Amino acid sequence: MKRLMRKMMISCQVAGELVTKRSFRKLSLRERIMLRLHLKVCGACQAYEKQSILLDKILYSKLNDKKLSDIPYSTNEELKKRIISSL
Amino acid sequence: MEDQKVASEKSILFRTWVEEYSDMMYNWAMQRLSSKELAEDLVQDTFVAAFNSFEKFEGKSNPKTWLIAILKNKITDHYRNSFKKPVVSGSEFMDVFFDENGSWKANQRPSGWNTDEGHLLDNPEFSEVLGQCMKHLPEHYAATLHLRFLEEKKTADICQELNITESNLWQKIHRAKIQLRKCLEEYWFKK
Repeated sequence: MKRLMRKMMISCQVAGELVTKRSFRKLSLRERIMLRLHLKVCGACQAYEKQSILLDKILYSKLNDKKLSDIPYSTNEELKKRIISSL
Repeated sequence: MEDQKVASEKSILFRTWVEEYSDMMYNWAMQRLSSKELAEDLVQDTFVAAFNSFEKFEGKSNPKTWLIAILKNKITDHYRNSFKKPVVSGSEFMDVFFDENGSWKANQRPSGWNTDEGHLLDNPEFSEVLGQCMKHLPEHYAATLHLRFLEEKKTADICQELNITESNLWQKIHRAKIQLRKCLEEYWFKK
């Protein structure tokens, strides 16, 4: 049992990769168990998991959400001249 | 004679398009690219490409839609090309964050963020910090985030465009997120 447990324990680095991989595809049973075991005992990775999910949301809305994309609108007269002279 | 007339009509039309759409396109590109110069270059390239392939347009769609579609392709091309450049090896990059056993280094350990999510997304100052942090990502990582989150492309399409495997893609996105997380913690959540 101890040997099995040791086999299933993964590092923070691998756990973080699995958290990201999970947002792409369903994890295998083995990966799910390994991740759950790690998260049970690692506070830093629990925090990372939450932040990773939040980051996904933030990145999606960065351009899709109007409020977030309300950046100052700048005009560029130099560019206009440059383009017209290149055509 | 007739040819000359057509050519000058085309020139006049493009002048009005540059006046009308270039600012919008420039701002659109600035949101997706790391520098002002690059945004300017790609907007210019877009107009040149549109000018040279004008016969394909023929007024079938809205000019704004057509120009944005070309610009979008130019940006994707830029990110695709950035993949061909040499890059800091992934393992070196991860050494900053993890020790030899793959555990978080003491000074890199994530701790809880005090945050109200809804509030965060409404905050223009946060948006600014996020934008700055994204600009500081290595090109490779910015490319994967751009395609994945901003274009909402399918995994298979991104892998094909960048010519990488799926596991390579999520490793890159993972690295990008780790770096972005660190930057946001440093410049936003600690304050």
